[in-house]
Amino acid sequence: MIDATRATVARLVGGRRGTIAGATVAVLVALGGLGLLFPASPAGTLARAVFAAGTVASALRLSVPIALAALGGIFAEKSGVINIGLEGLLIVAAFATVYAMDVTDSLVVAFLSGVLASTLLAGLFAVVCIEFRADQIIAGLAVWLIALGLAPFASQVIYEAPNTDSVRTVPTVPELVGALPSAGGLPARIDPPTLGVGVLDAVFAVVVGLLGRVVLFVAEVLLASSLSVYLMVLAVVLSWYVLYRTRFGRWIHASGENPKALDTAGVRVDRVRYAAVLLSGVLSGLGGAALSLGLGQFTGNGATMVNGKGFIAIAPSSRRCCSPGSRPSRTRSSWPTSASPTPSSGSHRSSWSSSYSRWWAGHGSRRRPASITSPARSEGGGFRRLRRHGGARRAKDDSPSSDALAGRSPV
Amino acid sequence: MSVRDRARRALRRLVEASATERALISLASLAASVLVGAVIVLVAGRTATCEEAAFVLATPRPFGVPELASVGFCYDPVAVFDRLFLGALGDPASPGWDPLNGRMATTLRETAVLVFTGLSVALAFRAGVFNIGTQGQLVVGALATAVAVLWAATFVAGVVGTVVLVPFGVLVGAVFGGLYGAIPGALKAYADANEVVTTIMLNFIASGVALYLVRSVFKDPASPANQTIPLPDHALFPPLLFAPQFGVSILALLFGLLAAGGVFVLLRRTVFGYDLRASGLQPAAAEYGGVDARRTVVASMTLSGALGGIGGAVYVLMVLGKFQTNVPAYGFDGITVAILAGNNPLGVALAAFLFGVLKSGTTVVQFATDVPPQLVGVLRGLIILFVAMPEFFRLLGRRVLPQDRAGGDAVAADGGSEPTGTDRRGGEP
Repeated sequence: MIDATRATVARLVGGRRGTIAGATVAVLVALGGLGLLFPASPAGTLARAVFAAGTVASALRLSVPIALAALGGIFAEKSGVINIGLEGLLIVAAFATVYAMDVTDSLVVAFLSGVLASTLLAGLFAVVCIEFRADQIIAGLAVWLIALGLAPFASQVIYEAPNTDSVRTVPTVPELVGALPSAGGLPARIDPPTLGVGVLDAVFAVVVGLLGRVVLFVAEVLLASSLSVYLMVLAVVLSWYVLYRTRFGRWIHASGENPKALDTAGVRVDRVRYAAVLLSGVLSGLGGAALSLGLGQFTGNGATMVNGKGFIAIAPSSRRCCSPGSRPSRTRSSWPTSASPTPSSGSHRSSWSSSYSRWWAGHGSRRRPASITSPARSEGGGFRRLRRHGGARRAKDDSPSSDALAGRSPV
Repeated sequence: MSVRDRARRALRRLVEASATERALISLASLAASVLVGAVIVLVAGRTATCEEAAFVLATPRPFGVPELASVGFCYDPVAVFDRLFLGALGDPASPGWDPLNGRMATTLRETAVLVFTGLSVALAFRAGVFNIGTQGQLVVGALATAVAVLWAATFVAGVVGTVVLVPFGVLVGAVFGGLYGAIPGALKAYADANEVVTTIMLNFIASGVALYLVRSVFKDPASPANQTIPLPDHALFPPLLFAPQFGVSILALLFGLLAAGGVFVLLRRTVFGYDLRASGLQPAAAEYGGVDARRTVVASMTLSGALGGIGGAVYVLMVLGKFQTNVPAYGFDGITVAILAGNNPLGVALAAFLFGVLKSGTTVVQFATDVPPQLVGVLRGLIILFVAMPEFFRLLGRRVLPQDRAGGDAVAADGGSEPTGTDRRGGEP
């Protein structure tokens, strides 16, 4: 446990993510310091704006759809399917949620409808990618374009305008629980208890004053946040747990990093990928629902209200950037990830089968493919299992030479 | 005949077969998306409310059998696609059809811009770089062209002005679009940044900066809209055959076809084109063969951006006559065009025309029927979805085609021997 923690810390500090996080913190600290020292300067104004509870609450609210979609992207990407259609999933979910809210006026039904719509579209994407071996990038773009047309189309059919009617928004905690004070109703400061001893009172005043400020700040942010923010935090924790602490999470990692090993272990790679892509649909659905119910309306003009949030979500889930837990060194190796974002220049080659062939290409020099397949064949299990998903196709590219020509390698 | 010649001939046959197959897949995708689109129109027609059914599906009544059921729909799918495809050409089937009509002009106008954005995406695609930033490069090129030509138009006038200013504007668009395209290229080559993400983000930056610049620096004081001062007529593409109000120029269209041919030759017949395709197909092998991968990435992105920038220049110098914020999504349509064309530059010209029809037909559909014009957006996505899964059609072909001849299996198995689809082009001289 301690070793694991140490390793995590070492990776955080040593990795590029650590550098980025450190730089961000450093900038914030510098801004805060400057703001405290020179309250009248532009830095002071900026610091007051950045460190206001309202700003933090808004930032949290705006990050909900991006974070949820990014979680979905991580699930899909780790399983070996790069889901560039997150934007489209957000769009359909945003519309379906508002429509369901308009019809039923139930928060739960609205969220479920958004999730359902998004998951259906993700299912279409999964079938196209896994069953029909479509190029993932192109299929993902198609998902986005379909949603970009479909949601305003449906809105036009139902509401006779690209924008829907307004509906109820997601409540904040004080709106739900009447007993709690609202975000603006908190006391400005917490008075320390007086003991009558001069020195102790002074110490108390300083300590309680500082601590009180922090507590009040956090409380104000929490009270101003809608339920969506709590949902996001819950989803982040759950996703982390599923990805890193469960067997299913290990399957997802394996199906992206070494599908052949997973297959040999007797797990159906395609099923794991289906599950992961559908999960990305569920999470994006929550994100889209939170987005449109945060505003209480779906606006479908131009790039719709989603307006690139799904694409921003791809950035953190992209393996090449800063996906949690994946070490950068792995990205350059010949591991069979079909998530390489490089298109195969119009050849409609399945990136999945190429992921296998790339694996062959990378390992062929060390071990001849025959020596890998023959034991499996003699056992009778592994090889048959391989055949079930694409082994028959791959049998043709067993020779490393054809793979070197055919496979895409990670750039 | 030497073995080498024979091998070369066999290779060429394969290449042609692949091109045919790809064209067939594109056509089948179009047909399939029209079918799915019709279903969507019908479903939406059940959802919407209207006074009178525009389309009625009834059970057939042979020999006086009474009608069992009939369902009315608010939207008529046949009318939609009739308007979409025939309306966009100004009804070529009707007597007295004038090929220079307004709808045709709109179609060709859209085509002229889409050829360039399609080429831009296709070229980058061929190099293995996914340039989603053509939209941003187009915006940058368009703004640069508008400002530069406005400045230069004061020095020359008349026919000489047109001869000088139009190429100048196109050049400026190409340079600025190219520079803007080089940014994600350099980021990918030297900082290992994912170009899908960077180009998308640069789109937002381009439209944001353009909005700021137009609003605060280059704004036309006489107009409430965010636009630059309109260019004088002698600085624009001359409308040769079409009436000037249509905003289309045969010259720009010819220029687009020329560019398609140029990119084709560049990719097929030059060393640079070979390097570019090799890096797209198999970067490791290309690098082993002596290709400077980083430089190729930057060069292809620059070229791709330049083509997008020319698209912007054509948009300004032919369609608008000024720069206006809220540029239509030509860049994103370019992705669709390139994918439908299988990244073949000559195919891009055809696909651009198809999407020109779709864009121009959208307005006709809007006028002639009650169907929401966003349907065309759905169709666009469906086309791409179907193009993305050729395996679907191969499966379908395998089911439909009888397996009696050995070749029948070969047609289907062509999909099975997919690797050849890639190494064919890689191995071709």
